[in-house]
Amino acid sequence: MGSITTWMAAIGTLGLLSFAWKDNKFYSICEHIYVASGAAHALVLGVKNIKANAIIPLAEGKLLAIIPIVLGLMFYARFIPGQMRWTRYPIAATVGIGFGQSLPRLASTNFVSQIRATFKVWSFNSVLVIVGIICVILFFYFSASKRGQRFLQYPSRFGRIIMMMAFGALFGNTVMGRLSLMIGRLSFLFRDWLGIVG
Amino acid sequence: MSIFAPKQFFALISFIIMVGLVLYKVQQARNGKVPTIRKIAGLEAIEEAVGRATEMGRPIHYTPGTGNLVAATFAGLEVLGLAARTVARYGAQIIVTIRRPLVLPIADEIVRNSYMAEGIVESYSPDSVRYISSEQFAYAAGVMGIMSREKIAANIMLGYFLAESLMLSETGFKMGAIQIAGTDNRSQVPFFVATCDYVLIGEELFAAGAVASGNPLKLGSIAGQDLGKIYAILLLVIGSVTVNLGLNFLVDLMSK
Repeated sequence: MGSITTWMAAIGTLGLLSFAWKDNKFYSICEHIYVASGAAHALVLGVKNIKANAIIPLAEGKLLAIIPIVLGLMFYARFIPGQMRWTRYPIAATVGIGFGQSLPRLASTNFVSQIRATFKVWSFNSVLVIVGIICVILFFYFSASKRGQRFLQYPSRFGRIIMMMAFGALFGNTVMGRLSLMIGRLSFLFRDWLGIVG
Repeated sequence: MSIFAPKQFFALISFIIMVGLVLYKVQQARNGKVPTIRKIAGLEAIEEAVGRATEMGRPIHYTPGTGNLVAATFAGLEVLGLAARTVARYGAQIIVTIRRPLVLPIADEIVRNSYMAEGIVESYSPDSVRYISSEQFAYAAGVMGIMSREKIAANIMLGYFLAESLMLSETGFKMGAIQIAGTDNRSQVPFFVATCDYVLIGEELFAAGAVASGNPLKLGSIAGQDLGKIYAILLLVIGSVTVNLGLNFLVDLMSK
């Protein structure tokens, strides 16, 4: 029947799955334990990160580690009345670094490579793909004048139909993935916990 | 040694062109020529959702997504400002749930400023903006519990979402809440389409953020990006025609 950890995982699984029936005390208890465990896990990870990226480098004399430490401490300015503005600097630094890191990838992978991949010898399929892409792009054209909007009406409607077809395929694909997760959970309950199936 | 990364030259040129187009439109907006953005149904429905929640005497749940400080989160936060102002004006109650600690102070400031803008800062409750958990499914479980226990009348989910999207929107659907959702993560849009009343697909979210902010420069940026789309369509058409004529200069250029 498994160890205590298997029992805990099984009870947690059943508790969270019980929400599919309705909100109940069992779910509520499991939910609170889950959220609390998440908070505890994040705290431990946070402490480990501070130790690895701030305390140890500082102890080794790497003074540059002071910069992220100061930026990190600035987040706590929101707890000092009237000093909330200081939290904007670390946020700006985080956004700036993230944006800078993603920029080269965005321009080449999401733009140039995608367009180049559509250059194909014409066939019914390739023409349909090109027309579909253009109509979908036109669906996302927001700043057209009233006359322009009348012109865009039909291409953007076709673009919406194309997107819905793509979403349908994506939906089916993801549902299959979710079903395999569900099967994984059921197999845990019946095999690892109850030992009913081999 | 070249100063350019290999096979990135055309990407750089395209990037410069698109930034130039955005800056041109932003400058036009700065000079008073503010572009008109087409109506976005999901954004217009926020007032309806808040009005319904007020009539029912039940709260509105809002989440700016589960992503970190990415573009979709910022768009969600812009719309949060609009939603919170509407909530403050109607005297309704809003519950904002947060997954990322970095997003918490921004969301808190936005909601507080919205109440301040409506002249009722004393009605702002610090409990309105709640950090739940950094753990993805612990966040989802916590939010599902809040939505159910607080009996929300409206559920607005605008930002970056992952696998929790269906869990949240299905709970909102079960509660009978009016649901407005939007994300730029295309694998999650189908779930929102299936369960929500209004869906902002992909870039509609960013346009909604710009409209909600009311900032002419952001509206100019959206118009500039529209010009970027025309540039993409031109590349697509010229490239397809030339490849079929046996000319590969554009393919070669794009490979550089």
